Amino acid sequence: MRVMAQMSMVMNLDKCIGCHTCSVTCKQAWTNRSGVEYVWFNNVETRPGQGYPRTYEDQERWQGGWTLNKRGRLTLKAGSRVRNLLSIFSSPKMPAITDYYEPWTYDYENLTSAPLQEHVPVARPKSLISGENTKISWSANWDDDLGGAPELAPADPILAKLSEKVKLEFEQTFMFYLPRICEHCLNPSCAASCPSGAIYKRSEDGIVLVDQDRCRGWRKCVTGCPYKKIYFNHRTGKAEKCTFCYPRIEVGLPTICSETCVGRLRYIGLVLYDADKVLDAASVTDEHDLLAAQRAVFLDPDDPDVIRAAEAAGISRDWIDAAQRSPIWALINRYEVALPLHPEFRTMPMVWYIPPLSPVVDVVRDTGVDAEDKQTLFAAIETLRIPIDYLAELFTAGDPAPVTAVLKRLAAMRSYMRDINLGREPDSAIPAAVGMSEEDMYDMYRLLALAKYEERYVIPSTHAEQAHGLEELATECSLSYDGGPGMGGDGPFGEGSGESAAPVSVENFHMLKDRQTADASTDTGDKRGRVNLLNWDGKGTPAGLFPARTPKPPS
Amino acid sequence: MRPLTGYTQLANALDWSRPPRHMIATAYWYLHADQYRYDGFGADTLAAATAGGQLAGKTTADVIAQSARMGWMPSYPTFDRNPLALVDDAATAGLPVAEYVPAELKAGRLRFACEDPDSPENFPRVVTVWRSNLLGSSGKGAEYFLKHLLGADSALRATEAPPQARPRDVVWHDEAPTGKLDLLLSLDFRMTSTTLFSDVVLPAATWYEKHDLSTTDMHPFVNSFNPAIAPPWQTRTDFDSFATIAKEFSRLAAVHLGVRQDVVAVPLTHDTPDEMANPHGRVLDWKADECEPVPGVTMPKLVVVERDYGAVAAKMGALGPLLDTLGATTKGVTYEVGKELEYLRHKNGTVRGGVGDGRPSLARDVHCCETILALSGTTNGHLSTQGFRTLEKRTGQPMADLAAEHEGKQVTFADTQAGPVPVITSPEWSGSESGGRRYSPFTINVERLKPWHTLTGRQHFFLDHDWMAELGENLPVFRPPLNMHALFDEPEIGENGELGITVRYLTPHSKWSIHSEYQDNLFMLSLSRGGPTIWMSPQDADKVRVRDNDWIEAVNRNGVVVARAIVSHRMPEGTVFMYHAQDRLIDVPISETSGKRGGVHNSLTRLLIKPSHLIGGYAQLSFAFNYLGPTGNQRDEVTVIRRRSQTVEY
Repeated sequence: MRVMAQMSMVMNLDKCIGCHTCSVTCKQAWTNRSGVEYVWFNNVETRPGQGYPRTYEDQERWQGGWTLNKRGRLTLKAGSRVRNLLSIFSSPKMPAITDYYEPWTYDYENLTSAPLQEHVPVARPKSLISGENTKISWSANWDDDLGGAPELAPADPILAKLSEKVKLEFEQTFMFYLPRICEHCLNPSCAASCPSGAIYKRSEDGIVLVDQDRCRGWRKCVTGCPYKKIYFNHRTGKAEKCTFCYPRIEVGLPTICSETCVGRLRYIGLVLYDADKVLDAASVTDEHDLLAAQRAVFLDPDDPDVIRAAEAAGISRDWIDAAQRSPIWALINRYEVALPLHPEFRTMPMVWYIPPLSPVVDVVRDTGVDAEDKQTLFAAIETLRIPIDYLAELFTAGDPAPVTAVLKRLAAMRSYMRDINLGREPDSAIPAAVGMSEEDMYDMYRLLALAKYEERYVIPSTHAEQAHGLEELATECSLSYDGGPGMGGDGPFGEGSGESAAPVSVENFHMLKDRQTADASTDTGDKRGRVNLLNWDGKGTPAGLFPARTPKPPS
Repeated sequence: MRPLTGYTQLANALDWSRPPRHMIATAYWYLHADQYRYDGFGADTLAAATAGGQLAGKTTADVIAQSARMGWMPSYPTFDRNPLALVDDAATAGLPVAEYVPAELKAGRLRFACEDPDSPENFPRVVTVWRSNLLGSSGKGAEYFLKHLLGADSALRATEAPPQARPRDVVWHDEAPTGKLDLLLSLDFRMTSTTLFSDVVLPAATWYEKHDLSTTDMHPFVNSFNPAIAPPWQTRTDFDSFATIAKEFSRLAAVHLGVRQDVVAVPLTHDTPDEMANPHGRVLDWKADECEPVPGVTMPKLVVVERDYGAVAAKMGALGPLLDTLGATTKGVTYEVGKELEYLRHKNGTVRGGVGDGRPSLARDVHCCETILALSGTTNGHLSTQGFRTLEKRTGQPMADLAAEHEGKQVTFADTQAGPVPVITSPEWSGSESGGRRYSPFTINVERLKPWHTLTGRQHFFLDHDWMAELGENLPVFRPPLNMHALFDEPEIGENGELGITVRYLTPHSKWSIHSEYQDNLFMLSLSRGGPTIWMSPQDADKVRVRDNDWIEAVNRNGVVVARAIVSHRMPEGTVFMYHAQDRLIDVPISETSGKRGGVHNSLTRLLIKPSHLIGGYAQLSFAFNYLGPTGNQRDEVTVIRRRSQTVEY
């Protein structure tokens, strides 16, 4: 047994209202920079829908994730490492900018500087790629709320897999929102795809990061990630991805997307797992066994043998305590209501989801009967094939049984708690019908419905004695590092971030200060000088928009 | 508005001068944007078969004027004579104002301004838009505003009512006035459809650049705003802007206006004995000689108020003396606030010199926050228990225990800065938060048997008012959407002609914003379709060969909208949505129909006012600010939609 700790997330989809606060605050914090205008580390998709980038789940097309080869061995879908290395100079299989979207801005300047003219001024859209006027025809969330669905939804790779044809008709509609970040997989195919070894999974907490110094911009990781959660910064020429907000996590704070989530649907905590079992679990033959296999990789944090092995592996006491109180462990293994997104990609993803009961409840309610009655709901879960099959294609490689089991537990919780809320005698038969005790059902209700902040986020801080290793805690002068402001430099951050490693506490402070107080793009001094296209009004060609032309040597 | 009492004192300057002058915005814009000129149907259109004819032959403008002169609803400007001059005229005539004005009205020498809204002396001249996006969000009938109030280009296509359908009591001018306003002033931190048309825009600080309180009746907390940074560039906090204007105004006004007497016409008011002015809901109009004009009974109360125009800024900076003698009243409960005033003298400091000498200071925005918190039962346990004891005496039911756990608690601004503060159960509201309970309305009425504020003191559905009987609505009834074909000669729903398909046109709030602010930034625009859109069903789209993201034009008599189509099976056939408040400055091309810049969602709407909303002076059907009055219609409009040239010009 090789015990490791993984920082993980669970999202309760019944609570997602599609407000995109997570996307906006994430972008503001992490990708509000040049080179990543089109990048949303966190996005929220309406399903059924094509997702972002378009149809990313179709691995026959995009070749992401792992597959089993003829000998039953796990291999990258895009080909073996050797083959990858040999084809390193050919352009990788990856979505084009049009599959993400062509970012744009508006000619805002016109609103204040337009001359006297016949019509009131307007801000036209301008492409951030070409700088030309454009008609907006795709965005980071184009098919929001099933907008354009009659034309667009048939291309949803999940809908294509369903045996029963989904009718895109009024009053037979179902939809829900799917918020997505990097999965911080136990078996990350992005890392395995990288020819430079620049992508690493932190041993302390399992967060997957890109070493900006080692990345050489081969973009094999973009192909390798089946969730398309690695993005190419076209300014720095390097890969970037969701960092699980590690500077916050290290000091015990939830990620930005979680902290700002209006619906309070995100849970963060530790899971202990046996690193020796990951490969076998990812290699099970039947895709339907992947869920159980991954659950079996997780270790019971209350098991004395596990505790002993964890301590031997150097996992500290408070981390073990946090693993025992972890909402992730409870939702995945104790209540068994959380499911992984696309286990068939075989990356062992670590952001799990509680599938939404609401598409079922909505249908029941619309028929005019009591949507919280246990019998009615159970019957509906059995008969409503389309939402169940769709959810199964997302979360269980198409096996409806685990999805049905989860939805029944959620339905039972509603019925059971309603009796209590109405002052009636609680019915112990309800939890029993879904294999739970009354106490467990109440605890699950507390975690899902009351969802107190300190129970949603059980995040042990990084230990002070490791701080220097992680360069987060500024026990010395935090500005005194090579090239830092304390050493007479102007700091490599703000627009130029990603150029070199630096203490995160410094990055946050100066980055924010520069961005918030500067009129023009910050840090335009030297080779790092560049323009933030998100702040560009579309007028003219600001210095730094294109790299300086090097004069041709005389021939 | 949880700290309601304190807010009301400051917002209406009740500490210095009572009563305030309020208006119902719906009727105000209906008349002053000249929307009434385009209403070709009568106020009796919706009358029941059993109607007695009280609304017969009247237009909406007529019933607005009737409601105003009978004291049901406020009206502004009130009279066709300056109310300052009116007091002087009364003095010259040697009569009290409350006798002079009714006599002049009855003789026809004085008229309500709403009886002749298009006469230049009755125009609104200066409009200040604060915390609102009148021309991009809230103002129904945007093109009417542009034409008649601003005198700007508009896409208004409606024809005026024919002679036989024009108002009876309201004067009709053959030539409709345009450009009534002299000045449109906006305070905003965004470029909006309103600032685009404003003569002067004062750049405003945002929520993160100023001190303020934020509360709502939707949740039980009081929050603070605090500056993360100082107001950048030339922006100022709203408090700073208004205080500056007040100072300069006072300096000039001391010379030009001085101290004057003003007459305020006050409507029959909710939670006062005025509610008994119309026994049995019988409608008696003094102008029709059905009764005499008696202020406070058959017409508005007439109250003379002293205006010391040179002292406006000084009064704004000090908490005034009326609170000492009159206390503060909310929903029929008067609070004695002597203790609170003493507390505020220490908390805020006192003013030295001038009219506010010795009064608690309101010199800074934070002083106002402290004052609101100190003068409200929801944030001051002493006042909430005091109010409940008043109610106990009145009702004989125990109630003070609801707030007793917090009797000694005074929420301070610093408390709200530390975190959202849950409010105290208070008679200002009808729910209970005692013991950490979540707020739910009317629990005090249900559990403590506090009478409802109705004629019977019970939950009250039967309304025996004359006008309700006229409309056949003594009891709640289902009303289908208005037939716009019959009323306004729009095509019928589903009609698919050369000009396009006719559909019902709704403007609901989007999931991302109630109004315009939150969707209007590059991030949110990148997470949607980045400009104005109209949602329509695949069936309707097919009929006019519209595909998803095609440019379309929606046209009706009120105006024109150019937008892109979102075709979705979530829309039912025959209905389109244009989500509320997509500002006209983002990606709006020139319309093929009007040759002008395509409009906003409200370019296709207009106000229609239901007579029953204008009822006042009868128990629960009595006016109160932001509480009871007419609303615009929401679900009746129709439009024709067609696919336009896909080459758009800007």
